[in-house]
Amino acid sequence: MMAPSKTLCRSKGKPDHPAAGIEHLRRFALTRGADDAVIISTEDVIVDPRVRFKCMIPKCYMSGNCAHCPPHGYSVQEVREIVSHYEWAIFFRKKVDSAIIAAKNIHKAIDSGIMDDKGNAINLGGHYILVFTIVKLLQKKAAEAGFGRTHGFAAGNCRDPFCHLQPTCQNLMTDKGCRHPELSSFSMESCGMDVYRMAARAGWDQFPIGGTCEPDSIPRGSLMGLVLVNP
Amino acid sequence: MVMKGIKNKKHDLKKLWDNVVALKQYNITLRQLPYLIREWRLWLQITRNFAMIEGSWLKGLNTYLSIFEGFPLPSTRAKNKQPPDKARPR
Repeated sequence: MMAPSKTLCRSKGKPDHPAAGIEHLRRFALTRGADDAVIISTEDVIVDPRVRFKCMIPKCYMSGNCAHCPPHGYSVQEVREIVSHYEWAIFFRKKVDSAIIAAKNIHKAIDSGIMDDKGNAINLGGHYILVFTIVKLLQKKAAEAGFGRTHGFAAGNCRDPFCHLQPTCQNLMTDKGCRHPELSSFSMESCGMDVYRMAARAGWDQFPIGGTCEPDSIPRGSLMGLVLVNP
Repeated sequence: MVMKGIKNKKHDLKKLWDNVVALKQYNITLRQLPYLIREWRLWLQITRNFAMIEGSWLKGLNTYLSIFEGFPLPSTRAKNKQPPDKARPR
């Protein structure tokens, strides 16, 4: 049984109370394309080293090939340290139609990098891009609203949606640095955040999607993002 | 000055050609367009978000286009490269 916490804070108390500004950010996420968004306490950000290891064992095709994917990026200890410096987080999700995320040959298309004729891989990439943009917009909006430092985490690797046609990740292989520093960010799972458990705590239904999953067997998939804010 | 301009144009054309080849290699063609149009709301939202991040629609569209910038795969580059002319005396 999960311990009660200040998970879904939708406080409409005093206007100068920090939660009011964060509530504004939550609503902003919904206007920018998120299907659900909640404010959670950082105590509810679950960091589990097993999640990060899942990227490496068995090795994901992007592990080591993207500067924002393991073994690059923050260690679990660093993530815990970063999260501990924040009080609140905006956790959102974008629902993806099962016909796209669990399409028949989508895994083949993702592994080979060659898009399918039905456009499912491109549309799936579009959903990932949307999550990245929502994270960045939330960070931008939070900065404009006077929140201090923010930290954003998106879903999946950033190389596939933003640099798919590039031979390598420029941040890793060249001195030029990232092609889209203003858009790319680490994913929640690459930082060891247990997204499934966090979504369950937020009351969202989850349907894990495997390689042999059929579109009819699941109602939908979800891509999630998180932005840490400090009032 | 003129030579520099011509060189720049040549470079731009080469980049454009590289893009076209890369898009074809990764099977990003007009065949998928009807399926992308079906998800027009998603792509419109992305464009709006890009415009908001960059501060203007023009810069947002530029970012959009930069996603589709690429290079041909190395194998094809090698295929396109002309073989050395062995018959020519050195």
